[in-house]
Amino acid sequence: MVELEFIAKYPFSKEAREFVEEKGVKIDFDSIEKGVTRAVKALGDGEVPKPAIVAEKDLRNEVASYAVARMIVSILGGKYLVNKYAVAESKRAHAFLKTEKKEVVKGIAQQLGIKTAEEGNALLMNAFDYLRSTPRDVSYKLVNRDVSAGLVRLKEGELARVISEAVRKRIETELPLKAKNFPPEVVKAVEEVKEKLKEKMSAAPQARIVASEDYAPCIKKLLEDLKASENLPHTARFCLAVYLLNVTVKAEDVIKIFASAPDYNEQTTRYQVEYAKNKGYKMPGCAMMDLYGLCTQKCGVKNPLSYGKKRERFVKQNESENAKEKKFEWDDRY
Amino acid sequence: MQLVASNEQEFVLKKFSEHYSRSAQSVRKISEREFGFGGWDKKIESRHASFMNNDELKSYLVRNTPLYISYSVAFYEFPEARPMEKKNWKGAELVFDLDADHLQLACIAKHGKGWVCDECINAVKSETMKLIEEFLVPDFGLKKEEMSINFSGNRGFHVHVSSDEVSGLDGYARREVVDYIMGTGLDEAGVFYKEGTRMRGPKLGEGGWRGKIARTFAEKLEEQKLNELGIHTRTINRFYEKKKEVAEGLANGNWDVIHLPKPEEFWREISAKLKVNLGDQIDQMVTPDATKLIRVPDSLHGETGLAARKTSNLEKFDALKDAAVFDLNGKTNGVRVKVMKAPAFRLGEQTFGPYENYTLTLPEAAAIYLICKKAAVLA
Ligand code: SF4
Ligand SMILES: [Zn+2]
Repeated sequence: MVELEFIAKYPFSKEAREFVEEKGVKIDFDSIEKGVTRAVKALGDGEVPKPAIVAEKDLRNEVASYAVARMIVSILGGKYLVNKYAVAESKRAHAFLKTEKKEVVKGIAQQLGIKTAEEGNALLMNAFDYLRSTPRDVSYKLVNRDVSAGLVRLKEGELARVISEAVRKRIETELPLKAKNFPPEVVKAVEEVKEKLKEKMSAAPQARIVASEDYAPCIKKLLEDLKASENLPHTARFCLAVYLLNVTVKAEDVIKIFASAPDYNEQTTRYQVEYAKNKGYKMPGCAMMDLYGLCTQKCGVKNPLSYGKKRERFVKQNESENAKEKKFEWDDRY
Repeated sequence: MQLVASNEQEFVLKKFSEHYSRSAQSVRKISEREFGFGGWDKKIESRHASFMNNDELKSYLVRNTPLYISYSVAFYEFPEARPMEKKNWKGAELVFDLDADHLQLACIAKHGKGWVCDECINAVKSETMKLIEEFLVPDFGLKKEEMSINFSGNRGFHVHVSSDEVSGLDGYARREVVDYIMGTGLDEAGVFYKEGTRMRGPKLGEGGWRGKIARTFAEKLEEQKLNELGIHTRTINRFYEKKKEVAEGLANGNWDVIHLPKPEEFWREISAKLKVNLGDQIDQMVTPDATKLIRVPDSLHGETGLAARKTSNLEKFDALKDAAVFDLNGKTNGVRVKVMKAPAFRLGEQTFGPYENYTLTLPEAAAIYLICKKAAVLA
């Protein structure tokens, strides 16, 4: 029972995997129902509620619901949903981990490949493991941490948070599941999930910036990607944010457009956008944009910011059929 | 650009090709990297190329001779595939690009932008040593064997860290490394704070930036050089009088004895002294960008004809001599060139110039250097 409780709390653990391999999970009416709830709550509300666990049967169902929810997310597919699901599961794990004894937390850390060591009362962890799973939060920034000889010193309770980030990353790489022969009952249940999500989604407020015609093509592309709920790489976000701030979109609105990214975290986004604004970062030139793989068409300007102004001229030139060969200059640093 | 007729291009490319036919290539994990090539007008004109092995690369370089060769710091399953997502990123080295241009050196006024002197090279060299000795080794626990250092071929150095630990780091993690090294985002309010009526601050034995700050302060106190940390002379003298007490306080994080009247200035000076300068926001992106293309170590730099030479002893490395691959003594026949304008510059043991509208015969290496800089034509 104790072990089963552990497995129900941490379905990503080694113990859980062994349990499922040995005993299998029963896909029946109960577990599918629980799995549907788990998926809908995670994808719709961004949270998986902690279950009221009383009987052994509940525990078994809880374990099975994790397996079912993963299948559902895999069938639904798409990076956005996978990431959203991973975020919700990681929050759930964090809620449990916060209440555990140090030994238990350390054990789970080890399973996730996070090496820790003790020094007196302090817990130390490998600096690169730390960076791999660091919460995107100002207080976890490495520059403010006690780091020495490749080890970061953690404060009370921080390991739990780091682990939950590692859980998120792990789920993101595991899903969608490779297997395609899902039980027909689960496939059927996906329809129900879709219906329920539709209701929730239509109720959610959607703030988006409509790309102006004057925005450079590369910027329009980034906005589209964001609309398609892709998690943009760091450089892409940076360039987009700086561009928008420069065309005088308000910081508040810039933050809002990032809200459609699955890993959106208001606090972090706000920090980063406001940081970029206050520091007055310059917009990278087209040559840099190209190096980052973000230039979509060499449209003839040197900096995406000059696109709007020049666009008119290009159109005119093309009309009068004497468009000169477009010159593209390389940024010569490095 | 227009100044250089195709004769010069042909000449330089022929020399580069000869060099590549004489030297073997030794790119690590070559089949997993993307390559990019540049020519007379652009440092990267084409990318998404790949090679099965070093021999294949060598014969490409001999036959197709680009002026610039870059490779990805990343390892891919399909390095040729495009768009980027199709390459299947497997991991990447962690690289640092240190450039004299980032350092805003005074000598620029003497030789102008685009030229290099010993002052430039020494400054960027000590910045590179700082990166390794003060950060990568003591804080990140990296071993020297896990790093490889090479001259950029022009005005800087590249440091490649290739250990497995760093390979899987994503852009965010790499950005965190840069922020750490540059002291970006240091929580100033958290370093000094009041505990009751006591002023608490960093201790000598602490790790991270706090420890660095405490130790630097202690060191400058000992050497009586606190003025270097932006502290006013009057205050400094008070510290020197109570040197022993101040030092004892530092060991326990007690900064009561040290009443800093202008903490902001102290702050600015001390972090400027300790950080590694990786340039502005855009320059710093080299490190977080895990798909970046960077000069292939030991390849030739098209703006100088010098090699991006690897070195295992940075301290002793003399870039302007050790990176030269072409003849420096006029042993082979010299090359007759007309120099439009060039400041004095050193290559090997010799100093050349300054020249202005001057025709002369130079050793091959110096002639190639000037032609590559578009400061001379064949005469
Ligand atoms: S040329 Fe510049 S503005 Fe145009 S798409 Fe490329 S990066 Fe954007
Ligand atoms: Zn100089």
